[in-house]
Amino acid sequence: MNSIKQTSHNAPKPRRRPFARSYARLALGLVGRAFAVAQRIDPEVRRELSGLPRGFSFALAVHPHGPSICLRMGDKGRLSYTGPAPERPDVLMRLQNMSSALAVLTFSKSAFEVYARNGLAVSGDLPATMAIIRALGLVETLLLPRAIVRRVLKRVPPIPALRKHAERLAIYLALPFAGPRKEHDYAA
Amino acid sequence: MQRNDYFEFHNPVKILAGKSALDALPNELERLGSHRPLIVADKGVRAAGLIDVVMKATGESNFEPAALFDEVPPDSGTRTAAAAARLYRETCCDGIVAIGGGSVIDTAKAVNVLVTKGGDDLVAYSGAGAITGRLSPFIVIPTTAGTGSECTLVAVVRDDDRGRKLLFVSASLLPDAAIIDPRMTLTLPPLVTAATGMDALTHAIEASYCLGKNPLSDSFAERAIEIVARRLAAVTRTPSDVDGRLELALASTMAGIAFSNSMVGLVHSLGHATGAVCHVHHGVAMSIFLPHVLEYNLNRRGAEIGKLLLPLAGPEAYFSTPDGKRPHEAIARIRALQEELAALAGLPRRLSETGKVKREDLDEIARSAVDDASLAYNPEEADIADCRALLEHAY
Ligand SMILES: [Fe+2]
Repeated sequence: MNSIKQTSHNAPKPRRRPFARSYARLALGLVGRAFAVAQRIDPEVRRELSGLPRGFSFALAVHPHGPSICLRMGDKGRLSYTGPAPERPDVLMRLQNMSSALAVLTFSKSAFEVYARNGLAVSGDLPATMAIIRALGLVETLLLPRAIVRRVLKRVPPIPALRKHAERLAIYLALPFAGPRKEHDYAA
Repeated sequence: MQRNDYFEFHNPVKILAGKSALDALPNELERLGSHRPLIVADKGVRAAGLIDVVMKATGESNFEPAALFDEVPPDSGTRTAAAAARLYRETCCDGIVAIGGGSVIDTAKAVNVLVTKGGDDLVAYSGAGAITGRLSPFIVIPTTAGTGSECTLVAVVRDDDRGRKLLFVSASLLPDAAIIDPRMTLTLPPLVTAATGMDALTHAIEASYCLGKNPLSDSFAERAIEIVARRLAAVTRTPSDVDGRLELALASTMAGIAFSNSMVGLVHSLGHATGAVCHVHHGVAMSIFLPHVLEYNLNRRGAEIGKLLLPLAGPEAYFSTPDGKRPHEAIARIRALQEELAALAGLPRRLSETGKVKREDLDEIARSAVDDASLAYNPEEADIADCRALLEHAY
């Protein structure tokens, strides 16, 4: 890029939505933490992600210039929330604009619908992405009331009620301690 | 689930269609600024004399390709694409003309990425949206009426080093032009005509009820369904029917436009998995799974599936069928078409009839199907057990 500051004549300036942005950052942060905790305590989440190789990273980002989160498979097969997305994660799921992001992060629309209508773009290994999406569905089921889960998933995964409530409590209690962890925390 | 009112529709492919459409190839190349095109084809296309048909149709215009690469195998991969790209560079080509079916067209898309972006490592470009900007001049002449690949933004190519499929999704992959000429499909044997026609029908049907459906893709899909329903059995019976061949080829292109913009669902998840595990022909798999998957999606998409009866059976049958019976009647029509094609061309109706699938394979197929990305677009959820049950039904 050239260094000369370009002048513009009467051109409209971007009008940001600071509240939307803060909400998206907060919601993404919660999803990142909950995902990491759920992988530790829920056997099915762990099973879905067991095919991911060590060091595998996947990220969810609001495009362009929006907040993002990244999760990484540690050396002991433990998933960690590592903060904002790095340059090239193995799988990148990109919410294409703030409207799509809010629809997904307020759980008012299904991620599948948003994906099918070009509101969510995915790059990277597709079988791995499908496993991550299945795991994310389980995490949502553990976190959210049934009425909301029915809106965002095609089918509510059958987790026994007692186990679901116990795990939900455990996840919420563990959230404040769930990251983000720096890369060097689990260097080999 | 709620409906999303936002959608995108993209089809920048110029379509040249008709009984003498091939004659326009030199003009199109000139329009695109290509003077030394590379022809990408396979041995079958060459043996069927289809390259000669093109050369004859364009002879008066002194059409002279710079090189011919006719070594695309049925299950083409990264090494084939790299070899074609090498030929392109060595002979200083400046455009690509693909003459063939799905494998040839997808390979040509990959070649176009390599010769425009440089290098020979396709893996770096795999995934969704990794390829941006304009590629080199690219014209497709399909020789089957089924894949619709001449109008899709997708390419599937085998990673020859790691033995897995690479999926490329990018608007840059869309060809500049597609030439639909019935001379290219006239010699297709009945079984291939039937199977590829059922692939086109599946594209149109899945496009019209899966999650990415939108008003524009709907209109392309509906017309494609109507043509396949009316013409496929007749053309399978009378392969030399030029008008029918042209209509079927157009239906395949329209179905391609529809599903390139709304994507496909569970029929394709099961079909890709069955192809990968047991090497069942893609169109054959589509035909086998289509009615079962429609029944599976009835709860979520009964109304949409009921509407299929209109293009499948015509207005009289549609309006004389009560609303509540239309979904089942639509599925019954597809089964009837299947039976007809089985009698005419020996098109398998069940997995066991393909002679390639053993019961022991079903578990592996089910496991692989849930990892197929097209499942994300299917209205109804399907886990491994659901896929296993569907496979059992279709066995
Ligand atoms: Fe297909």
